[in-house]
Amino acid sequence: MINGETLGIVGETGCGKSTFGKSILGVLPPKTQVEGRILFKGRNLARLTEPEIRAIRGKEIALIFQDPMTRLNPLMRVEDHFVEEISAHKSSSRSEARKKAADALGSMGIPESRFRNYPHEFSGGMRQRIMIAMAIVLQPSLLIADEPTTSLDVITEAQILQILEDLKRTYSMSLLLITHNLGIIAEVCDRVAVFYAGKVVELGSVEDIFAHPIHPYTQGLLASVIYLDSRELRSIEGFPPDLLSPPPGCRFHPRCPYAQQVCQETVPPLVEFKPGHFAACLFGEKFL
Amino acid sequence: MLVRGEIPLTTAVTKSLSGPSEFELTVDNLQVYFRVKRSLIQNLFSREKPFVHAVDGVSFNIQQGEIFGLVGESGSGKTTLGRAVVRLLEPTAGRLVLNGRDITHLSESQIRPLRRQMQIIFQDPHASLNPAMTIGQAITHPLKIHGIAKTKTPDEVKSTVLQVMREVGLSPEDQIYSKYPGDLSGGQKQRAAIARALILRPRLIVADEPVAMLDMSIRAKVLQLMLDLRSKYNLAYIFITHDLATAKFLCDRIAIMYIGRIVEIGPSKNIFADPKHPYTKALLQAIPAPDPRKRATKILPKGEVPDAVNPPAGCRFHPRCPAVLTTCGWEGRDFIDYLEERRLNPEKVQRDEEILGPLDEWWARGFQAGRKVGEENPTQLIEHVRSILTEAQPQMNQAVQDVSVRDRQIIVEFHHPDLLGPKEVEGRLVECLLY
Repeated sequence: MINGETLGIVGETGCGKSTFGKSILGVLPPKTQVEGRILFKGRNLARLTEPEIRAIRGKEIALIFQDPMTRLNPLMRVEDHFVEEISAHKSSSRSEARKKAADALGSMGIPESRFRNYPHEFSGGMRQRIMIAMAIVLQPSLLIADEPTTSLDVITEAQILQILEDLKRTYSMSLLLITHNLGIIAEVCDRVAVFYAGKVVELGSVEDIFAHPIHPYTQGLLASVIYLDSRELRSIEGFPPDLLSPPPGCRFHPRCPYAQQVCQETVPPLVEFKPGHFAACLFGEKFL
Repeated sequence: MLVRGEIPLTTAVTKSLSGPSEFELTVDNLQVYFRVKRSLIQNLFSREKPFVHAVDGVSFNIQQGEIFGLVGESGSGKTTLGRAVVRLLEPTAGRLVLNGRDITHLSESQIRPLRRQMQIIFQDPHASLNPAMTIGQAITHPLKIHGIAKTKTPDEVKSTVLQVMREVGLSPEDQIYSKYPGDLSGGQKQRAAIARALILRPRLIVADEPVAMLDMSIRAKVLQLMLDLRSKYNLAYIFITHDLATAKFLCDRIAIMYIGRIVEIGPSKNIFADPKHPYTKALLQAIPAPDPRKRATKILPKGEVPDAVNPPAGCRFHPRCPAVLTTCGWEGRDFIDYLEERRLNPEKVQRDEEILGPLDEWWARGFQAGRKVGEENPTQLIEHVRSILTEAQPQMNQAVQDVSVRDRQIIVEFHHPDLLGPKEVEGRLVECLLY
């Protein structure tokens, strides 16, 4: 990902997209094994100690979740969340922190008369805006949003997506947007990574992937979206695999209409089929 | 004061599209209110008894073989309406008529035999299946409750259950029969819930967001199953959803709900081809289109769905409506909301604070908003309020009847709204003053 870019992570339940998002900030359950590298401005986040990563969390990389109440403390006034967040990273006075909080909340349309309220006194959309305000108060360079609009209604969802777009432009912040909703990916993202059973099966620009998907899973997923112009119902046969014992070879082969013998034996590498358009399918050329 | 229009049931568009039918359910001006729970202290100090106006005067009709969609956001009352229709809730007012019989206030023992005709499936198949019952037991259960099982041999009962499992695609059915819900995937669990509803051979199934919790790649299959069962048994569905695209695909007619009211109702193809109510238009526009080439800037309604305990006056959508008129129901709290909105503007905040005082000193009651006047010069205060009103939406400004100082209170008073009722517009009913 580069500066100012929005990368979408899309996949169905259990594909590992949330785990992936959490691994970047090291907020997985204790004793989780993380291998490989997460390079952020040249540093490998996977190798940092807890105090080192804590300095990055919130300040350089911020995270917003699907349910704002998992982050907001019900016993704390909204304003105090900000003061705590800010003083964890900067030795600023309480009044300075308050001023920063007021700016962030105000930019999210939360009036000053409500700063001293408790989280339960706000609607779902307002809580999500408070979360976003908290995430951006220290002006991070990367924002990870994990299903930020899933529990919201369509109109509120569209409002929040507009806010995220405006923020990106204002702060030239990068956004990693994790969602199961292909409509959101199409509207907001520059590039998208399609996850299936814990692996990236396709990666490329939204234009390429929506117009010319290469991987059979991406093709099936795009075809099964019901949108206003849909004339028929399509779906993918079978179920996602159990990740305790994933299928050998290509993890999608048991559900793939084009699977051959070799797909059961060989793990397909992520190959660049067109400039910037990668897919992990042994027969990718067939779908170009 | 506003008089709520009743939907005349004789109007062609509320009637179903098909001819004479063996099954007909009529919902006539139905209301379902819930008492808001309050503490003893609150009850001692206030005589007011607040209610959630979950469903507030809704009328429609459904016949066999029809798929009728109830579409709305959370808090629209669509789920409450669905539950009231199968009498899991008792309506507060209005009528439910099933095949000519008034079932609005039948007792549980009177309604139970009628439930064979009307079943319901819920959004979360996991929560609606008892984890301690095998799938076979769960699907057999309705046969026991309705006394059908005891008229048959155990083998006959089991073969009926296996047959319905085959019909909903739960195969291999003899294996799944003895499995527990925890062993099944989400799609399979929803199929089991459908089988359990179907085994009584109902005429109507109320389906409350039946695919919302399922992954995209398996939603289509469950919807296809529902369509197949409709053509096989001439089943009727009330399909409750927030997803307009699915509603468009599935439903013959739809009703768009907003805070307990139907704002637009009619054949799906009319409504989707050319939505009339500003709320319907907003909903359609808000759906993210899965096509990156179709990105467009959206004009969205501001704010969120207001509380149904104290719904807005006049048209309930008026505070958010992009096409609002002077006569739509402007009231005291809209003025307070406007003051609050101004405080977000750093240029206005200081002057407003000086002259109008802190926001929490302002009150709103019905069509009035006001504040106690201290030492200030009343004329100057009135002038300032008038001047900030000219900076507001013109429709709000024009709705103001009077700004005055009476009994040491400054009072902003709005005109009462015009009468609102459903009107027939191009093959559907719309509840909006634009028409």
